[in-house]
Amino acid sequence: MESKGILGKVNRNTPVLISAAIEEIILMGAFVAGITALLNDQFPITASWMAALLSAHLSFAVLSGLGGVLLFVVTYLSDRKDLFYLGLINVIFIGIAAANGLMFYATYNYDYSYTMAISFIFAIICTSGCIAWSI
Amino acid sequence: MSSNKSLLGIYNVMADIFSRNQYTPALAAAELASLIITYFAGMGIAVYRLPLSGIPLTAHIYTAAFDVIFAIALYGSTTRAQNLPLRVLSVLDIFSVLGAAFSGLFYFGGFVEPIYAIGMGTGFVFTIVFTSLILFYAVRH
Repeated sequence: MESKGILGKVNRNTPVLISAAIEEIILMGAFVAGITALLNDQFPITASWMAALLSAHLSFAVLSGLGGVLLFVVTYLSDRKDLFYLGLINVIFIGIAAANGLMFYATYNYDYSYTMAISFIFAIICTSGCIAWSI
Repeated sequence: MSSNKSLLGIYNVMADIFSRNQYTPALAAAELASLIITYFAGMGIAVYRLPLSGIPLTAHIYTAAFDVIFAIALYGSTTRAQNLPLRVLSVLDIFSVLGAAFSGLFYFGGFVEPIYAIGMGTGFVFTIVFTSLILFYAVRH
């Protein structure tokens, strides 16, 4: 198998595959923890188990930020333009989500929460693209 | 193939990409667009605590119905393409979209408890992962 022009078949890239798979799991964990925190209580939170849930969401978010940067670096090193662009868009949307999440935590303005959710979905689509195109 | 620079050339390239594997990329892209609208409307209801009525809920329910239709159509196209990884992914896609749909029906049917909305969200995130995997895998393999 070798490159055959626009979106032709190319070789497998194991580093991108592994880091994208890890990033995907972390993003899904962050989503489930975040939506459970959102649906169970009004902010600011009061119950201690809600605090644990929100801490889980924050931990997954920090890990997904680190994973996004790692995925971007690995896609940059892969010498493939398609993977590089997917990794770049992925890390940009994770950055937007992280910035809006921090703004939400500071202001409790739900617009930031909504923007965080919207940018999450584009990030997870790009991560899935990295998995599928690196196989 | 004609030149990639002209409008007709771009159209031909796009048609070639989206018709691979018996039009699986086209159906997956349509389902992805439908899923994104579902998510915009549903997340708006969840975040802003909107009542379960009006434009957001209508948009959410109609695009959710189209999500299920596209998921089943994807199974058909991947079966015709005889591509085993794509078939496995589309079966997983159907299961996750049905899980989200049944949780949503319980929620809308009167059991307004967070666990059903969480089930909807969990099914949704699996659906969007499998659909985008199908989309990106189908244009390459």
